[in-house]
Amino acid sequence: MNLAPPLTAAQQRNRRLRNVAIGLAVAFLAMLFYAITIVKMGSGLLPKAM
Amino acid sequence: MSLATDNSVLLPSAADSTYLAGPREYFSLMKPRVMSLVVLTAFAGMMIAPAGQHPIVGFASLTAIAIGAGASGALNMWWDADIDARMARTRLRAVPSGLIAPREALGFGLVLSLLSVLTLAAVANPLAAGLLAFTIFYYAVIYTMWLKRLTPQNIVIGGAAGALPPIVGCAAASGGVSWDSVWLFAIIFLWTPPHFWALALVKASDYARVGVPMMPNIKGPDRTRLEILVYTLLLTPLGLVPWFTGAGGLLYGVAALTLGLGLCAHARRVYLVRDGAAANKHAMAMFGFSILYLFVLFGLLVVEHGFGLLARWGL
Repeated sequence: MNLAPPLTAAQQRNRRLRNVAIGLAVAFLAMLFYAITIVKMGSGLLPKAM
Repeated sequence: MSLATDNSVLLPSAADSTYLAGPREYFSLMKPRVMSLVVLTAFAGMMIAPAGQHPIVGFASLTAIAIGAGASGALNMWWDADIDARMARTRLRAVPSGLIAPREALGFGLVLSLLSVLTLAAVANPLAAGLLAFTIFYYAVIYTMWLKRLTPQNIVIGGAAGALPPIVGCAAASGGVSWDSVWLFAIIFLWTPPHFWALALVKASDYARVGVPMMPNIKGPDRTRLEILVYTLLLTPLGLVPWFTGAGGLLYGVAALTLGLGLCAHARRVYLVRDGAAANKHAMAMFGFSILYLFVLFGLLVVEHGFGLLARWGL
């Protein structure tokens, strides 16, 4: 049985925003690691080293 | 919402914090202003490195360093929540105000620490990752947990943590530590005490109330003013070294000289004007100008080397 008090509207909104933020962060990291993988494989499609 | 009284301050209890904090409050745990300075100084370290990185790898390295800086900030806010709640400057931070429970801040800081170090190891090299891990450890444990409440030299010794990002950036870009990055470390190391003591002069009563042994509370404001002046006089010529070594160009050299002299003028005023509202005004002006000094110098290093890269790419 769940004895926790129900969340207020503000708490529900903040929880939703936190989930969105975590989702965006994970998507960003996935794209970043994908790009790095391509670069490290040396595809030659991207600009040369700094 | 329950309320906990602390002198005249009413703060919500951390027990009420479940789901109360949104992404903005978590982001504030990372001390975004400090993080921006870390990103800039690490970027400068990457730009002056003898060997380069692919821009995407450089961006990923910089992101990892920024997250590592944020992790240090979150761990600092977790540990210091008790004194933050009693200082006017910090009592509205996310943990003391009850928006984020201490254990949540601790978990956030630890997860970010691990994420940043592993990411840097994966995208750059083990040396850079090790240096980042050491920086986080130095700031969170050596400075925050040990030195800050122990000695008036807390800022001097602890300042090494804030000075390390150029070395981390250089290691990430080249796999080694260059002398130029060590000079940048030295500049930030000497910059930190006069920068922070200028603020501490104004906030001395806050620090005294919570028992943090800042220089003005232990050695007195006059000794602090003298030390601010001495450190600034040492910093100004040191700021010119990257110009002499070739890491900085003409723009950098002119800025280092003029802003350095400006900082000396501020330090002189802080030293001479010791009473009343004018004394606090000069101390805060010194604090603000010191931020400008570091941002401009390191920003110019990035700009000068950035234009060099563009020229190398034929743009």
